[in-house]
Amino acid sequence: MDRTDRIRWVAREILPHEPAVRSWLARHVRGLPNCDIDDLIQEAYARLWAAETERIVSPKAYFFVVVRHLVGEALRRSRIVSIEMLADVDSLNIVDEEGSPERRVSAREELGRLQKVLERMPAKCRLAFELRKFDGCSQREIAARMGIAESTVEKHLAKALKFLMTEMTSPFAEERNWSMRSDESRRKWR
Amino acid sequence: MTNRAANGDDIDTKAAAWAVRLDGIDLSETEHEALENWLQRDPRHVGALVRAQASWTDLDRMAALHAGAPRAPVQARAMFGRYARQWAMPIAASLLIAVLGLSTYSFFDGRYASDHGQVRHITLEDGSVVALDSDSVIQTRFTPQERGIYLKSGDASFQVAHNRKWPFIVHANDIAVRAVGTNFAVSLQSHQVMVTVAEGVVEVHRVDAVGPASKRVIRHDDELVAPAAHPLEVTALKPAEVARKLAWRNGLLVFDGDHLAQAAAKVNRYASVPVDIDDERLGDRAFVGVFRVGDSKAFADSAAAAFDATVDEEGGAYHLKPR
Repeated sequence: MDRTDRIRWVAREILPHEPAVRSWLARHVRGLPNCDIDDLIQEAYARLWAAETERIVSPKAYFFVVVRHLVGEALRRSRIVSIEMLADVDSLNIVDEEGSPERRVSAREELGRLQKVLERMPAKCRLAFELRKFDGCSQREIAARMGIAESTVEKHLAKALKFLMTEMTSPFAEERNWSMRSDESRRKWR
Repeated sequence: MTNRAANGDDIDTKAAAWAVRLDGIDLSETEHEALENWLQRDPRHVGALVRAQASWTDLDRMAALHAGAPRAPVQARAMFGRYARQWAMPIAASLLIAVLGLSTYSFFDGRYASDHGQVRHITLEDGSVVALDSDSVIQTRFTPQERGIYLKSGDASFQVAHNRKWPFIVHANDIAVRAVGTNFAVSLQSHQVMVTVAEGVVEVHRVDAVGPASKRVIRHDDELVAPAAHPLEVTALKPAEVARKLAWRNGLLVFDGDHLAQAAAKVNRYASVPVDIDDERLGDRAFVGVFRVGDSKAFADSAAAAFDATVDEEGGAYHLKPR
């Protein structure tokens, strides 16, 4: 597999499980010192990227194992953590997460979620994003259509991606509780 | 994870910018170096970029789901934000139409699709002629800079009206085929892009995720195969072979030494009653013949005659079995 294939593999096999991993982290390592969930997720993707993806039988389980391992490492580095806490994390059971029936989101639900996220996105970001992804326009075409510089288009697209990434992978994404989430993320965005 | 400069959120912001950058035009030498430096500084950067690129890729899948959904009204709301909701609807509506009318309209314009078994010929506004093979979709997007054609699926062939100042560019996945005045076909089947040139010269360009972009010039009677994420390959073909490959434009399928199974797959692209070859050895036999698209019965009968097989029509298909 070359890079593009591997990126597709990550998109297909890993990304859909990120909300579950994040909610597991939020439940189990909340309040741990020096343990930022975003950091852990990034480290996990770096480890997964270095792994031989062809040999991973269950990407979801692997994702959980990597994250759990990283939490353990972070705790060992952190001197103020008590032995009890360390033991606690080592014995963390991920079987329940793996065994739980797959929460397959239907295409319609997924689309609805995307639509809701798009509605909260700043107007120009959203327009640039829709032209790029839904209409297949190049950045240059978008610049011409919106009457802005290509570099500005790129900034809008990057902002849109960041926004979507945060929203679509948050643990709340699983719960579809949009009214609660929207105020919080609006504040964050501005 | 202690004492590191950037926090996870900042890293994600940078990673998103790189992911979008990598999907746009080619990186300059300096940018390439900057990216490499950034990636080497912290393993989290590698992970964040992988995650951002995966998300960006995944959005294509969602965009595809989105294709059927109506979206003009949503777009209008996005442009005007909450103001649109505060205004009296009639005023808002007329204003939106005035402002957005033209540009929104063109988003839906220029989509051409062919049904199963249908070969469509379409004359575009610049005088170029497109032949759309069975089950194919294109979207045209003409701007002052280019005559853009997006091949969404299937096969399309183009007789390009000559205009040196207005390049004709066919996009399929990550491949862009640029022509001035020529005759060529582009195929997008199971993520593989194939370009066959009948007349003139085209320039094929691929924008890779990372690494140097590849560009090839394809002359007449050449064929280029661009499998997803593999190097571009160019093969020289005989003129007769090109004619044979593009015979579908005239409603014909020409086979010359193709395996029977492959030939059947092509026939089935147009057929309402597909041909099913139940025997593997039979499917491997080399086959010669010319058929009208959609005539799977004639195909099945002549294959049966050529290889001493029987044809049974059963369950909505012609089954070929060795006698």
